[in-house]
Formats: sequence, structure tokens, C-alpha cells
Amino acid sequence: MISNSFKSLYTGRYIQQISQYRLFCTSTSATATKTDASKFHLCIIGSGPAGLYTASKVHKHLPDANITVLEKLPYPFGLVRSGISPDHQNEKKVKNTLEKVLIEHPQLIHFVGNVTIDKDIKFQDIQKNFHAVVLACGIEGDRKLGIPLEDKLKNIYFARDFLGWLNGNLKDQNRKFDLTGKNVAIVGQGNVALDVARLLLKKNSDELKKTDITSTAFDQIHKSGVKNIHIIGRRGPLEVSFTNKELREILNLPGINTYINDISTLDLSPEQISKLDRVRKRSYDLLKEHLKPLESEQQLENTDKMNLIFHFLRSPVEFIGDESGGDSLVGMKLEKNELVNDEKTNQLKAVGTKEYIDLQCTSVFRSIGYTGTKQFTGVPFDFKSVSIPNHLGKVRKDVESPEFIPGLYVSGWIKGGPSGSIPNISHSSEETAAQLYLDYSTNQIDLNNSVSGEFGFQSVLSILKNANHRIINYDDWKKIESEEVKRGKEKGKLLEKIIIFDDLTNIINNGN
Amino acid sequence: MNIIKLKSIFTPSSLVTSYSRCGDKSLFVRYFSSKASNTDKKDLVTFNYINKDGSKSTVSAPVGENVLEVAHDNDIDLEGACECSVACSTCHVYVEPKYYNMLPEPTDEENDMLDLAFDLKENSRLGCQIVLTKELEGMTVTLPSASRNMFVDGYKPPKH
Repeated sequence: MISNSFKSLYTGRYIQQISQYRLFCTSTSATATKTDASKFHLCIIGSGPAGLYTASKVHKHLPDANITVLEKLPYPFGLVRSGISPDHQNEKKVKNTLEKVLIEHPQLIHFVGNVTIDKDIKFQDIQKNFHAVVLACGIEGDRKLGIPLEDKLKNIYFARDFLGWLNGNLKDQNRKFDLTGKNVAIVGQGNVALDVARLLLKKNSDELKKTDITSTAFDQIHKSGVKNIHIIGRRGPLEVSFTNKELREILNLPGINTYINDISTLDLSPEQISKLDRVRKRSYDLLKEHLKPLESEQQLENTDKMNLIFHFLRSPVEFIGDESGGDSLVGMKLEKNELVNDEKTNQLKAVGTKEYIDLQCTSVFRSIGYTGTKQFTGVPFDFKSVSIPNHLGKVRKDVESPEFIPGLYVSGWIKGGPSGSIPNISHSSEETAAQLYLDYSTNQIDLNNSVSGEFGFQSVLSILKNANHRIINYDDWKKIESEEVKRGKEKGKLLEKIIIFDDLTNIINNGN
Repeated sequence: MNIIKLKSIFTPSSLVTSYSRCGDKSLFVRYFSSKASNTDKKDLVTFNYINKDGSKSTVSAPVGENVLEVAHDNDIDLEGACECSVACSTCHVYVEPKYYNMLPEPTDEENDMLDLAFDLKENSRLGCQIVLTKELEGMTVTLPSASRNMFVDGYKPPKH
């Protein structure tokens, strides 16, 4: 028999009650002893939404646990800072939720930024110095198209790098994006593709200018010569991965024309429409309402407005270089596809028809997903699902193994694959934190320190200090942030992000 | 046997909570204005939350407040990542069907967010879009949970 009268399990107010609650007690009598987790040291790798959500949810279960959050970048918040588009400030507000755990528990929960695993500190050393480790570092490695001339021609980019660049992400600041041409193509039908399109369409937006987009990036977008934006997807309008919010937003932008390459793909019978699920039906309605047929190239010329063209059922099969044989991109060869039911997966898949068309474009952004890279010694990676094999956040010894690596957990994209936004990450972290808490409560986490002397956070500090490595802690980050706010104010914008590492360290050293 | 003991706790608005608030009202103003309205019993709505662990909390809050704000005032663990700007679905709740039908239809923007909600059901709504009215007296809203089934007996943690 178990009582669920612990109303306060997840709430901050009754922390005392939580710690007095014994998970598997069999009676309601008050015989519970206080769960003392003050000797428990947890390391979380990654300080994006997955890392900080996990920290806060573990803290709710084990309020006196010591948590160290390691981050590769000099600042926290991962894709909230460097991935969410600057014109989506409402989505960026989650920063406030994430930051709370760092603000409220400075003695227990430590942010250690500018630390690259296996370069600055060995992964094995982290495992040795903590009772448990949660990998929450997202997924790296963008998928290429794998077609001729992709690596030879200029102006072929990853959409994620572009978002990172205009968001002031340090690692993307040496990139150059050529936006001078009239025709830009974006391959992929997810929200990142729409982010790129929307930002290019907003080149004259004063609102965009006042966000946290870097001034350099805004100036370049503002001066761009882009007139036609082609979004290319191998499947049809009913298979898109755009979410309806993003679709509604871009289709309703003022002063643009929105076209579809083949309007017949939107001809559905009432019966077919009635079979669509909720989300599909809503996106179908949006596309049907807003997209006009593109009948000739002339339509794009005879207007002062910018044009957004959705190309469905098209796969890029080759990049086209200029006639001189140099490295300039002039277009892409697209193959027309048809949808065929895949008997294995029972899903519609795009199959080429050997019919080709050429699309003129001088810059291309790829946004077709992620490949993943194996990041940690001794930790398996499943390249098929682009994630670390796990059960409810516990890392398996191998892809199909029923056994687990003791004390090792995953959360966020690296746990479930590279898709999903804040609500999914929050739930992913809740599940992992609950699993970790259960393991802790049932003594499945070894609390004996295998090394003598320093442990946990202190040991990380010592290792990095001995290597003469510069770390950036939470207070350092706050100095950077207040400088960004100050510089932003001077320019009439939300933030002016610091985009040079030496500037960051100068600000920290000078305390201004 | 698994006995779920439902516990009703009335917790008044508290100053200690540091959850982000909706709108521009400061903590100070919110605290005292909600205190002031608490004195007028006619404008209070009493309703229930089913928490992530399955327990029940009964609260009273003034007409005009939304289910997310009231949750934060009462330390109910309902998230509000976008602070009521309808840009996420972290405050997603299930509304008891009888009361669900009394609510005004969700806007396109709310529906766009519900599309993305974890474990969407027929009676899903965003907490920040449910504004308390007198007719919602006695309503129950349930928080989705990713871990509720881990905390009932019979659960066997996987072995290392």
C-alpha cells in the first residue's frame, strides 16, 4: 500500500516535507527519515533547457544535492540563447524559468562555463568525481544533402549556423553568409527553415532590429538583395514538419506574396480532409487559405513585394555551378517526386520520377536534420535514432542491451533524438529526474567516493585550475549579461551580444 | 492495494514564491490586491488541481485570474515558460469535461500551441488562457505528468 498524500512532491514550498518523504514507505505513519542528499554529487553536462530543467527537477526531489552544470560555451541557456530566432522573444522567456535554479541555490548548484569535455577535462575524470552524470548536451552534426558539388561550391550553408551567427553565438562569428543574390533556396520543411525564411523576409523590420539580433547580422540582412525565397521539400504539403504557429506567422507576414509550386497537391476530397488528424487539418487549412499557384516566373518579377514560394515534392539532386567551372553557385537541379506508401513503415515516402527542373538560386540553406556525433568515451550512440540508447533516461550499455551504465543518465535531444521544443524538453527532464531520484532512493547509485580527497564541484575546479584553464562561472556571466544590456540600451535594442571571446574576458576582469 | 489519499490544502497567496508572474503587475501589487479581493467572498472561485503526483489541491482565487497565475500563487507545479504570451504549451492542463464546455473556444494561437502539447487530449487547454469566472466553481483541472506512473506501487526500477 502506498499513500499519495505527498501533495508537495514537486513544489518548492514544502521542501521539508519532500525530504521527509520516503518513496517506498508502506504505511502512512510518520516514520520517514530525512533524505540527506548533501553528500550526493551530480554533474550535468550542458546548460541548455535540458540541462537546467533537469537540474531544477532533481533539486525538487533532492533539495540538498550538489549539482555541477558544465557548459562548453561561455554562457548558459544553449539554444534558447543561440538557436531560437531573435524575433521570437516570447519563446526566449523560458530563460527566466531556467535561470531560477542557478539564482536560488548558489551554494548547491554551480554553473561552470567554457569547458569542453575531453579537451579541458576528461569525461572519465567527471565520471570518477561524481556519483551520477546526466548528459544533456544536445545533438551536434548537421545533415548534408550528399549530392554532387555540395562541397565544392560556395554559398551552401547550414540553417542552424545562420541562426547561431545572428544570435551572436561565438563559434559562428567567423562565418560569412552571402545574401546579395535575388534567389535564395532553403531545403527542408521544419521550423528552422521557416526561421531563416522569415528573418530574410523581415529585412526592413524595425522590430527585428530592436531584438537581441547582433547589429552586424541585422545590417547584412537589411542590405540583402533577396527577393525570392524558395522553400523546398521532398514530400507534400500534408507531410510538412512546420508547426502551425510558425506556418501561420510566416503566411500572415505583411507585404509578401506566398506561392505554391503545384496547387493540385492541395486538392483533397472532403473524405480525405475528414481523415486528417487535428494538426494536419489545421496546417492544411492554413496552406489552402494562403498559397496561390505560381504559374510563371514572370509573376515573381511583376511585383515590388518579396515572394515566398513553397516547392513541394521536389528533391535537390545536384548543385549547379557557373559555366566557367569556378566555385560560384547558380542553381539546383530538382527531381520531381511522387508519394508512395512504404510498406515497411506504412508511411508515405517520396520517390523520384526521373523528371527534372532547374531552380535558379545563388545561396542555399540546408535544414534537413542532424546526424549526431559520438561524443563520449564508453557511451554508446545510436546513429539511427540520433540519440544515446536509454530507458526513461538511464543509459543502456549498448543499443539493444537490457543492462544499464550505473550512474549515467540522458535528458533532452540526446535522449529522445533532435526534435521537440520546450514542453517536450521539460517532460524529458522530468522523467529523467524522477528516474534518477528513484535510483537514488533505492540505493542503485553508488555513493562511495572512489577517490580520496576532493570530489564533485571542487575536483572540477582543481582539475581546470591545474590545467590553467579559464572557466566562466555564473557571476562572470551576469557581468557579461549586464554589459550586453547596457550596450543594447545605447543602441535602442534589447541586447547587444558580445561576440568576441576576448571582449568577454575583459568585461569579467574589469568588472564592468 | 493502492490507496490514493486525496488531500485538500488551502494555501493562501504567498510572498515566498519566486515563480515568474504573468503580466506587468509587480509581486507587491499582486500580493496585496489579491489579499484585498480575498476579503470579498463573492468574487472567489474555489476549484481543484490534480498534481503531477496524483494528489489533489483545492484553492480559492479571485474571478479574473487565470489558472496558471493561481497555480503559481499556490505553489502548484504548473510551468509557465513563456509567461502567458501563448508561445509555449508548458501550462497545458486537462479540464473536467463539464467545465471544458463552459470555456470560451480556444483562439487559433492557443490551438497552435495545443498542437505541440505533451499528451494532448480532447479536454486540453492552456492554463494561462482559462480565466476564472463564477461558473467555474468546483472545476477540476489535471496536470499532465511524465512521471506519475513511476510513483505508484508495483513499479520496479530497471536493474543496472
